[in-house]
Amino acid sequence: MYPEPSLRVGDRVRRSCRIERRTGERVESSELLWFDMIPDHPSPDDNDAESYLLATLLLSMKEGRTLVVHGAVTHELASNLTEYRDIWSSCLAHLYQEVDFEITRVVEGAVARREAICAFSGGVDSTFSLWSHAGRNNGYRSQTVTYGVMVHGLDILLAEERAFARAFARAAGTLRSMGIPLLQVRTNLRDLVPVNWEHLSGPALVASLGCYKGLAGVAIIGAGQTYGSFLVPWGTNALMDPLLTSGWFQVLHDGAARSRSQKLSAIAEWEEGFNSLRVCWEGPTTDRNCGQCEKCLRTLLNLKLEGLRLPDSFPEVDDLSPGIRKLRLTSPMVHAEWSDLFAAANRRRIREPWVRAVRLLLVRRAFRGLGPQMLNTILPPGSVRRRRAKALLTLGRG
Amino acid sequence: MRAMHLFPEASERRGGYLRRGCRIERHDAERCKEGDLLWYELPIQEIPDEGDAETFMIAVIMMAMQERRTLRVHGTISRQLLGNLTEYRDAWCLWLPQTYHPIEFEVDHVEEDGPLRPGAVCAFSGGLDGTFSIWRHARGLAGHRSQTIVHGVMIHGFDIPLDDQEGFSVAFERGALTLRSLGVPLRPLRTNFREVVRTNWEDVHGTALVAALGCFKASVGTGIVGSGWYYRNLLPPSETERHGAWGSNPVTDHLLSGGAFRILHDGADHTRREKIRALTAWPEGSNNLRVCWAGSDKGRNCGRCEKCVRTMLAFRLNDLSIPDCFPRVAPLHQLVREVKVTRWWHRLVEEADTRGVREPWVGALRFVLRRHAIRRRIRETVDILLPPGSRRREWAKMLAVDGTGT
Repeated sequence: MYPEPSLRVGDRVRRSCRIERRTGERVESSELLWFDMIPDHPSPDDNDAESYLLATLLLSMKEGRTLVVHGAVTHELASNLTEYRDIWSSCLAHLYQEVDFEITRVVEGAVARREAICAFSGGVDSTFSLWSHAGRNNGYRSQTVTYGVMVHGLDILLAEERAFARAFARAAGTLRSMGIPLLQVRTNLRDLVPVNWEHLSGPALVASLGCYKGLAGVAIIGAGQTYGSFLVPWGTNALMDPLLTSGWFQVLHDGAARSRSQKLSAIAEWEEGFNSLRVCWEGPTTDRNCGQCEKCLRTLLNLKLEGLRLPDSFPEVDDLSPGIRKLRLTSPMVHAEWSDLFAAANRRRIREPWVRAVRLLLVRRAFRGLGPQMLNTILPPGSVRRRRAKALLTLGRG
Repeated sequence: MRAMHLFPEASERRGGYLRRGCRIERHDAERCKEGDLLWYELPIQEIPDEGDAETFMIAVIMMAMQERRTLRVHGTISRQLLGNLTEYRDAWCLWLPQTYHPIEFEVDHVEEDGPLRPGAVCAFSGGLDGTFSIWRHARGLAGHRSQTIVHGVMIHGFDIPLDDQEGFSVAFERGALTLRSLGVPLRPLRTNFREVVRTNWEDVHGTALVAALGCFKASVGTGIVGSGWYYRNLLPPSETERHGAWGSNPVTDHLLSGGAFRILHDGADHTRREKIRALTAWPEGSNNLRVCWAGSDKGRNCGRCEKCVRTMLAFRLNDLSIPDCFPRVAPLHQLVREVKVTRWWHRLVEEADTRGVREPWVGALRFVLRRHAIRRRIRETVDILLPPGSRRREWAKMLAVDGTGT
């Protein structure tokens, strides 16, 4: 990775890095990874390669390539990413290899600024984090949030310019009510880094926010999973996000001690934030809530559980049960969220049709995995018994 | 207001040790109950950090949360530690809400974070996790994360009670001998923590360990805690045996870092078997392991408890003979049937299958785990069909009670 000098592109400042894939002396490919930021803000040193290292670490692990960084990285980030790498390679060894990284300039004794910026998409998690820090509701952990940052090119792809413009305008209006300006970053990271987005989301977000480390030394990332049900490894969680911290830029994974329902109750006190919630990423337009996808339905049920009104940004849905019946819970994290919802509904003795639909959803999922699980218990993978069973089956097929 | 007040006291010399103490007072409205004295005794050559109250705040936070008392610290705490302990508190309140409660902190002096001193201290009891961590850091095998270990620390008053002087001497001498082969000195530390902090040891051992290591922060900036976890076993905490709550873990240990002393939870990227394989390069380390905390002789391994058996199996998985530090009390397949296994033991069977191990204990363990899995599956299905707290479950319970005629 070769960091390049910053340059002006239209009305933005572009920070970029040339990524070369080499085998021996042969250069196999050369691509430019860039981050566009708003001008007139102090940008990191051109030689600062931390964002580029964060953005490409999983890619180099996927391709099994030593990562050679021709730039400056703080010792703290290098140390943390060593552990970060080990989590991925020990948990998903078939996807990510344990690669070495070589850094031409390791910076010791770096000092981070005191101010904080908060990643803001308009979703429940980031809205809650911004609200609770701005209101200093986190005791000694409260941060002074000077800016929100929305990234174009991650959950809203670069091609979806109009959708991003609408989402940004709405979010900027929301934050204005708190007196916090909203900045944006554009990046081609997802075009260049073909890694499972559910794995890449955390480092990609921190890499993008790192462009503003001249303004703030703390990045707040709203937790999507609680301490009670988070998944390892995953793109962003309470275990792994702190490991994306550098000497210049501390990453604070925030709000993992609150459930989604508790967060919604808190946000309800902030009218602008509540009415502008944007949780949907599966609907036809990424800047609005569709009211039909898994996340929209889950949020609507969270609202019902807490007895809260419908935010303006959600469409009116009369009966949630048909939508719930169509769902399939593939991710363990999402399954844990629905289990929590179901448990809460039972604790509160709620007797609405949607509770039955959720029960059916969970029962369906419980029995779906039962066949393979029983097979694995009787014929454990790799065992002699399983090999014999396979041989018999092959024999039987002639 | 119910409060717990901490008053750090000046260090004093006691024989060959330097004692750092803190008076703990419980206040209920205007009434003050008699205070306990929590103390740590360090080797005389160590420099104590006099004004610092971080060690004591970390030591008692879980007890204050359990007793639902505001924690009032009459000393100095770094801003970083206060922020981290706020999150630490919230995580535990979410994990075990019936036991731990959100409390407030009030501190006389909040200190801005300073630069970290170079060098690290590593907790060492002679167990596999501490032995592995010291080995890989002393040999620089952790890449950019490798630390310069200034010394190891063995704590008297945790797994070995304070009155068992002989047991501690045996364990310490053996540990010191082991570390000498790496050129790393071992320091003793004595504390009455377990006599003063009467909170479940499984929940509190992380804070206990970090508080003890913090006594050395005047000379080093990093404390290493050897991990007993493996990252792949962290899926998802709500499904683990006790809601994922365990005193020392990779999720919350780093939240015990302060402005001048940070905590590295180390080694969760290796399974127990992998750690033992790595230690074959250090015979003094693997031949002197002390993993047992359940046996009556605290200085030695009992060879029968869950941890001893699990460690012995890890040696066999590597096709290594079991070292003499584990007494042979019964054949392995018999021991496997006697111990209480957790669901993570299935990794041992997986590893045995992968490595083609065909010893009798593999079959015994497979049987035990199958029984364990079926019971868990039944429990989960019952929880979906008769959700906890639901009317349906109450009816089912009533029916069951009627059926038994009671």
